[in-house]
Amino acid sequence: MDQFMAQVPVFEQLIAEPSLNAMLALSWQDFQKFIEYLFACAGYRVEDVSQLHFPNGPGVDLNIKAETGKVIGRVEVRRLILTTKVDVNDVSAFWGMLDVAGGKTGYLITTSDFTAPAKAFAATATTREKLWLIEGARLLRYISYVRSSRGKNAQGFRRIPHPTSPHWLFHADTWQAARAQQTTNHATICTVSNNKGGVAKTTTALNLGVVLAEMRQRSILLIDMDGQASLTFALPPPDPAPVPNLADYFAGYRKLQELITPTEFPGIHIIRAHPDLHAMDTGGIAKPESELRFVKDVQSIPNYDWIIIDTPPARTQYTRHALAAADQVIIPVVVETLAANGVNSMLNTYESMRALVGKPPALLGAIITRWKQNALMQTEKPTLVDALRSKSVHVFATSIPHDDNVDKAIRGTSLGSKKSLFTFRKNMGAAAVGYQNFVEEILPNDLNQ
Amino acid sequence: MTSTSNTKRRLLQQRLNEIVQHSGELLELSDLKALSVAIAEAAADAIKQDAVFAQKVCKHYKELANVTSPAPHTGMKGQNEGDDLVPIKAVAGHDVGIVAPLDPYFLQELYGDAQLPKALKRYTLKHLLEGAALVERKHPGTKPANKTKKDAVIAYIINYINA
Repeated sequence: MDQFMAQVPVFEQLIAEPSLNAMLALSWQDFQKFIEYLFACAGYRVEDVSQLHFPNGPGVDLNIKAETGKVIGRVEVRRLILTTKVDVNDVSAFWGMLDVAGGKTGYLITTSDFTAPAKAFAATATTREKLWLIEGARLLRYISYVRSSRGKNAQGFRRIPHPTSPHWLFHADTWQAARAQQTTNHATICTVSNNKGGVAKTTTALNLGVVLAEMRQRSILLIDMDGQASLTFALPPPDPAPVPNLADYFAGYRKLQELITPTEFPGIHIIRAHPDLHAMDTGGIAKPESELRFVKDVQSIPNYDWIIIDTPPARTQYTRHALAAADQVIIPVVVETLAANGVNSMLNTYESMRALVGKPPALLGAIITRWKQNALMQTEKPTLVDALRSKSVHVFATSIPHDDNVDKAIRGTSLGSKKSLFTFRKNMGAAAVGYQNFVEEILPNDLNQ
Repeated sequence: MTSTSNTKRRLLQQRLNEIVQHSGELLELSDLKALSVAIAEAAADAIKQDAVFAQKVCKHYKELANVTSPAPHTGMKGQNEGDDLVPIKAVAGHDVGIVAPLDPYFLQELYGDAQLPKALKRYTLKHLLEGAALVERKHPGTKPANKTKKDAVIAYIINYINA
């Protein structure tokens, strides 16, 4: 990475806060250098061949290579003001150059956009899947995806350890467009996430599901993606025979829908977790193919009104998959010094996954849990609320009070009791009322449905 | 405290009497004590079998609990000062945490000038003094008129934050 040494701080700032105006403020040489840096961060070995004009070189700006040194793609960059679009002549010239240089996959990248004829040219049977036109908006998404999908290598350089192409963004867009056109009702996919443990993620996922099933008559599928398997433990199967679990899916020998099992609660099914998930975790680095496959598999599950996903308290591949699939993201937070920290890394992952799938969720909100009406929490709450709001995270008006009944109810269900937090004792406790209020807050208009 | 508890008990008893009496008239039953137990037993059975009915009971219960407990600690909803504040923009570079000192410039960016007084009012005097210190640094020689009063510190911040 020696070729970037002087520019790394500038480029990293652009990656941290990508903007087309900031890229336009670079010279065209620096913009090309930035794209070179971006592909290096995305796991490629990159070679600047812009000075090697055809026939001495491929006639493009960059060769991108696998770790072995084999050229696997070629890149041309166009730093253009936003009103000037790349036209079909430019695109067909690049395609011709790719052809004579050996027919590798080509990426034409611009800060602006492409004309309609240029896009049509790239969508023909000959060029499709070989010629990718990355306009400004997709470039920003690619930067965001790469940003939080990297890990440090032995030289201290933060990069994805394997080449990760921007073409996955197109695959995601194709799938989302197809999903939007489906006429069947989709389940609302709600991911409960925070990279800090002990903030009541599992409790929130469980009780959100129970309120929706018992009091709103919704059909619920819970997915436990945490290798600690707390949600799985809380809802044992009615039949003691071994049941399949999510590790089987990630190992590749079970389909996601085959893992759905019943619980003791009518209207609630679950896909169970297993400690093997820990061993199989590849961490917080990019796995776009797997991430998008999971998105499709979850979104294709029929017959549920809500799919609620419980996530691990860490930057894991499962957190990434769950955030990619989400229509709604709920962040349980506790007003404690350390508990707030997990939100930042979770939000970074969230932004990365939204960049991949290309659409924001309908709702991103934080709910304060384990709330105690004491002076310390009252004092510190505004700071937490304002910091969350500054990240565009809605803070729900409902808080879930600390309540010993939560643990008692989970102990009961884990031993096979059919009584939830809402029914296991004569009078509902504070947390039960809180979760009811929470559901009223997120679904205010269908109390009687 | 005792007076509040007595009021609660009276209100609930009065409501119970009215409901049982009304039900007795509808069902043409005269032993109201027996009827109140019968209603409770029938309702308990219905709660087990009918989720919608159970939901209705919970709704009534909450209404009654709110009437009788002015400051409940259960499932608080919409009672937090500042819930109606509306952020006007996302603010980059501000991590989520609760240990940072109050930054009134950040609050101004987040909520705008119009909502700033309300946003500041949620903070304690200790926090506000941290925020005032930031403003003092930008405007040497100025300070709040009274550092022991929240209103005075807020007025100072508002006065100088755009100066």
